[in-house]
Amino acid sequence: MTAQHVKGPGDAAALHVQDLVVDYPLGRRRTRRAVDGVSLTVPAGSTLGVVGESGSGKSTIAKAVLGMAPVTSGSITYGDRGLLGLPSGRRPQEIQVVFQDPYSSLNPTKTIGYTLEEPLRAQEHRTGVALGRAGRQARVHEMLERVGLPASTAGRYPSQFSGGQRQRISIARALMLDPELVICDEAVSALDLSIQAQILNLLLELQHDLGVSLLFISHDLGVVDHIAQQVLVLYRGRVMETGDSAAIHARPAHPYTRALVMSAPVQDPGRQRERRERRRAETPVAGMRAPLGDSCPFAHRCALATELCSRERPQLRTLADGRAVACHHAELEPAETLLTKETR
Amino acid sequence: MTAGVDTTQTHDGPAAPADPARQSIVRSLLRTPRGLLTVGFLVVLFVASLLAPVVAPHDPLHQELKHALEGPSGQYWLGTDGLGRDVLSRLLYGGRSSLLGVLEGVVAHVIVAVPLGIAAGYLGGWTDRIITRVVDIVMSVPTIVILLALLTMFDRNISAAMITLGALSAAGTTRMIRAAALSVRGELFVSAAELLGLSRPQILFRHILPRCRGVIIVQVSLFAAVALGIQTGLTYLSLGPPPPAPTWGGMVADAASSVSNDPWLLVPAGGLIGITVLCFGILGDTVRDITAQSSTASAGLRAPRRRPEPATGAPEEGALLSVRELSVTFRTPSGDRDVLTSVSFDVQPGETLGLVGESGSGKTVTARAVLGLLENNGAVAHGSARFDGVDLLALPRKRWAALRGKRIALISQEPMVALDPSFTVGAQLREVVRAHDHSGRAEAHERVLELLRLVELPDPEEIVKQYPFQISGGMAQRVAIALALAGRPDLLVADEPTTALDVTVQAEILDLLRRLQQETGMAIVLVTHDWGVVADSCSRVAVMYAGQVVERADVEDVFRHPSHPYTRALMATSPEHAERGRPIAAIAGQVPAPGTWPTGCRFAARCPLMTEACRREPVAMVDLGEGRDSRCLMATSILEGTSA
Repeated sequence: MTAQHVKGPGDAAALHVQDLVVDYPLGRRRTRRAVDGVSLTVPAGSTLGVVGESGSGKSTIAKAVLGMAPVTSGSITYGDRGLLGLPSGRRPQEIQVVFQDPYSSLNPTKTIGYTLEEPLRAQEHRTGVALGRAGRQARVHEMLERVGLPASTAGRYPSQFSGGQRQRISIARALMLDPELVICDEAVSALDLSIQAQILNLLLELQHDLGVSLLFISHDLGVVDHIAQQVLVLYRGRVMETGDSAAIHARPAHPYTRALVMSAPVQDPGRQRERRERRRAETPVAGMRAPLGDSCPFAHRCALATELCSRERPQLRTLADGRAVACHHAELEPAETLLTKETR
Repeated sequence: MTAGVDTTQTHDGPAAPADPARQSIVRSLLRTPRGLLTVGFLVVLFVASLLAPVVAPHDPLHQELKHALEGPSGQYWLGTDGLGRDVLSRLLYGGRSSLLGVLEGVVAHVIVAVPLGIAAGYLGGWTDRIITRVVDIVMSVPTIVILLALLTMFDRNISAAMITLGALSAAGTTRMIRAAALSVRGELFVSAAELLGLSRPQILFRHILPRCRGVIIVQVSLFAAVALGIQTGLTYLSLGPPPPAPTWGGMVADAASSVSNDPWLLVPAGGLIGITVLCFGILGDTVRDITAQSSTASAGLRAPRRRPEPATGAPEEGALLSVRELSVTFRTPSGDRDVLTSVSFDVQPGETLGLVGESGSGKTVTARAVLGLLENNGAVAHGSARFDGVDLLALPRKRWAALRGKRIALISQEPMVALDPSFTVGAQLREVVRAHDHSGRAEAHERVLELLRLVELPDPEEIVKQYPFQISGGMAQRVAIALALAGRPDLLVADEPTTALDVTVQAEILDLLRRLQQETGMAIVLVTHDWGVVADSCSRVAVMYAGQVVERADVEDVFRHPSHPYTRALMATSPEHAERGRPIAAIAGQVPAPGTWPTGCRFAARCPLMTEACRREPVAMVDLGEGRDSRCLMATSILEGTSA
């Protein structure tokens, strides 16, 4: 990638998702609501982290943006273009994706070079501007080196690479057409700790060099906290809390976010013991999932829950520091020892 | 994580040098003896029939009545028929019409089935619904009746019959191809290609069709076998070309009429038909095996099981489990591979030992070897595992099995795998309880409820009636723990018990394990890759890297002063320790694959402290006192450096 490919934040667009609702069909005339009125913005050149447990709808949001989920209502726009209802051939190539599974992401019967060259060929076909064989291969080699792999990788097959290397290749493929926004759907979750660190570093470096924005989806609040400026916490398809990542991680206001932060064990037996005691004092309830009606989706597990919570669904409201929280009882507590990162 | 068994290409496991999936099917086919033989036979048959006018020794219609019904001879290699015609020549000429018929059928079959199947599978929606309905209807049509009618209408035109047969029986193949295309469509690389702007035809021809090749070849060769059978059947009933034209079916009919005078006559025609049908069938089977094999390269390999050489090291005082110098070898297509070398650790009663490492470190293999649950292609080559004074590795299978589940229990990463979806939770627990306690129904039921309460499941009376798929992953792991507790074990081996769970559920499960341990006093071996889990739950730690234990220490010590550079580096890779948005201290490179381990320190290539001495010879465990050991030449100075 050369200097003229670098995009400044000025010419890239922002992704806006407004009141998104996604229902998956469950047999005859029944549906399951996976995403329930979610709004989010990924500003150009920045990273929004989406955090949630399994079934929270975080991957469905990614699918909806990519045109792979049955959107019931809401809007998704990129810059001034609406993305909903676009036929697959007309989707903006500025948005690309890196999936979780590094194995299913690459066609095992094609060489890495072929896989990376393919989008260029499709682009030539579309635009009529030919790079030529040599030009395409030069781009492939350049991109491989960008993601930290030797150019000779191009002649080999996916099975000859480990999970971490395949994830690098998937990232290279996503970058082939100079995207402005890359959606990382649990992109580091299947990787070992040391490899995860390598890939996170690569993503940060690419963002710095190329100015791409990231929609970074993960179940791991620690990882999201590291890579994202803004974070959105999802639970059962609804936004629980959203705002500045550092602030939320240090002082989670929503009881669910608190539970997430407190449940992640830290690498210090002494500190972990204290955190465990605090967590147990705070979240005594391990109730069964109640059906979602007008209640707060977290009410059945929440230590602060009152009768109001099961009667009325809390709306997102903005707190003093600018974050938004969907909880009747959430207040900003004074800064305290919840900090999980070492003092900065 | 699916650590360890690298021979079967696990996550992040080192890659195998060659991948059968990418080799051409034809080449792999010709590499198997079966494939070579069948393909060879079919090719010879086709070529010989095609060249019948050249290679046939006689005119197939020429009658030599004085030689009628003769056996094989120098002049008539396969003998003559009732009219004195040469059997070999008639077979060759008959092959032309038979094989041509099969070919016509196959072409029609492919032309109908492949586009329809691919379209239904890949495009989905209405296209799929319409095609599936039509296929269902066609499958209910009695093909043979239609063929008979057709042959009467078109005056014995066997080509018309075979083309119709090919088209009508394409319904089943369409379904198979649809299923294959459907599963390829679900692969992420297809989604990625769509997002990169590839058009549908491009995706179809470059990604979908090549991945369905195997299914197509299998189905087509099986159809060819059926088509040949039907074709000869029709000509046997003299519905094909009229005599005296030679046909295989007609020759069987001739032979059948004179079977009492000359039984031999049945052999050449019948045998050839049989062998050809068989060849088509075997061809299909072999291709299926080849395409299925790509996912299980080492399936069918067995490592020799012999009594391992016992270890010499003495067990630790009072240890419940004492593993010494455990080495495990896996048999792979490219030879035997060591995956564990000389692993030693001790577990005291009531304590939790963390077995920590990345994928490929051998932590899961270690746990499985101790439980006697290695896969068929793995075997313990050396070492001992003393459990309460008895060497498990030297035990006969039966006594080992008696211990396992009773005194030593296992919970694994995927709780759902431990539970059988076709039985209720209660039925499965009851079965295990009765096997352990030899108790009656009512007693067993009480014990089941007690176990479910023990693992803090709300409403046990309700849970026993549920099927595994009706409960959440966290609840399933609790049920799996209840199953493990049924035998009141002294040792619980927990292989990544919380890796597949959400972080809030993980916290609850770890709390549960800790409470159970306090109440029952059982020891736990906790296999994990997560240092947070170690800090939360373990009292002692054994860190593994590339098939070895590189550090053993108490949990407080290992976090405060890691004495091995790998331990230190691995802890530092957590984003927890990095400044937000800044690079994390990642370890460059990757864990070396079994078979590529260096002679010296296995971490040397990635180690910031590496010196010449590290590469020279294997590094032994260094005893650092206070129950600590480290497999690093610099361990003492590292410790002094950090404590200073």
